[in-house]
Amino acid sequence: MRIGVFNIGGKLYGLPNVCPHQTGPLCEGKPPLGTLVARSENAWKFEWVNEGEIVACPWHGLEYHVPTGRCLAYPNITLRSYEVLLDGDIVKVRF
Amino acid sequence: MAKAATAKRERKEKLEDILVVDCDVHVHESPAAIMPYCEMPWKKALATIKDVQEFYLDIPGFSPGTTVYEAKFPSGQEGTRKVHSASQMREELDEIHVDIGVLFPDHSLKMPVISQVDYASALARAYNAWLLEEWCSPESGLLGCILACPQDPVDAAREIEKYSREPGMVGVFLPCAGLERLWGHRQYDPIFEVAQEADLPVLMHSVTVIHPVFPFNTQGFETEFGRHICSHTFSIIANLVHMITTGVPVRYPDLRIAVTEAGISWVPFLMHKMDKEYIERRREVPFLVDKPSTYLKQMYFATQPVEEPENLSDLVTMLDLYDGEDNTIFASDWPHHDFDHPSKVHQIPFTNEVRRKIFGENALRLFKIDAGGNRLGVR
Repeated sequence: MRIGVFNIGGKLYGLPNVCPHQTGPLCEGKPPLGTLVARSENAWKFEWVNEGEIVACPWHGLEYHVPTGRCLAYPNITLRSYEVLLDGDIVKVRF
Repeated sequence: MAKAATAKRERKEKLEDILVVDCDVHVHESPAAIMPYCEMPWKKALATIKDVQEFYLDIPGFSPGTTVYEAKFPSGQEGTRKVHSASQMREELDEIHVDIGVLFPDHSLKMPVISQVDYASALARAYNAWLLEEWCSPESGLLGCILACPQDPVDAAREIEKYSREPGMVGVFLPCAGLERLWGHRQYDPIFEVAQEADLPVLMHSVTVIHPVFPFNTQGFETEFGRHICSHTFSIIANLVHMITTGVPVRYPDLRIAVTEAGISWVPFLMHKMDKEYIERRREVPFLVDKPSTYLKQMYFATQPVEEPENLSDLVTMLDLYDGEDNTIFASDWPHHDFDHPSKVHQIPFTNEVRRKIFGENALRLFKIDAGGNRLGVR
């Protein structure tokens, strides 16, 4: 099992490098970006949100919110999160 | 009619142990790559554009893109993968457990929209020569399809004849994207004639493009989401309807016909729709001696982009609904943005026997090749 470690605003997160869709290398794409939403609260206008927090699987673009592991397209899918700590210069992942 | 669902408990065969013939992978033919194979004066046109920045299947004077009409936002998806060489293709197909790959173009998927007849046929000739020379190799499990230029059916027939005995060519690619006249129109008869004579199957392949013909007049959709939903499958349906209409399977009874990149869930729909219409309108299509679905059931349907219902056994049912056990063929569409990793199709709860058929055995029959990728009856 390979784990991708993300640094978002100084906080570290760990996600599995396997997309539940078709086993794509979830963490090997581009660094997290933002994404688009349209909400009734904002009269359904397109908004660019979650800058730097959304990772997309390089294969088919399925988006995941890194801090929570939630899949944007399928809210019932949440990736397992791994706790990541910095011990001096060493990155440690808790299994 | 054999049931596809697992009746008894058998251990599922591993993907690694199954022969996988991938009926749809894509080479990247850039203007610079095919230029050496292109005759004058069209070679000059390729030289003009060879350094133009390329977007996804989008080079002015070569292939028209669709994304220019909408806002482009940054995306993490690696949607513009390209395969530039046979060795790269072989390496990447190995990674996705594919033994034999059947080659289709990238940009030339859009060939039908090129308005200059002579340019289109010159590009087709250059592509075919380049493909054979630099890609096709049964030893490497890379087999090509001869591109039939719809703008010039007589020249296309000549091209098919030219390559008909090549061990590296196993089919004829019929481009569907942006076609003014659908496959089935009588002007294409020379192509079907020579393909049947050469015992080569014809494979229809579309792509998303905006063009003022059905079903590509999709400028109103605002998104690639909408256009992509309504492109490939509707295009394949339209072409099959017209081929049945003019009796292609009847007039060319030995011609094997396959379709790609449309998924499979629409197949029962089309069969039933045609059969219902036939009740009322048989005499509009008097070529047919049996109901239309009979002819459709002789055709081959590639899986990609395979539908992904929550309950994967629904796909087993779907296949059963069109008796697809012997004529459904696996395709990945590597390296395109919507490719299917074979593990997805492997997950579907078919019996081992049906799974093996879909992954490779049916394709061997379609292309008349052996498990080593060698054309039967051609030395």
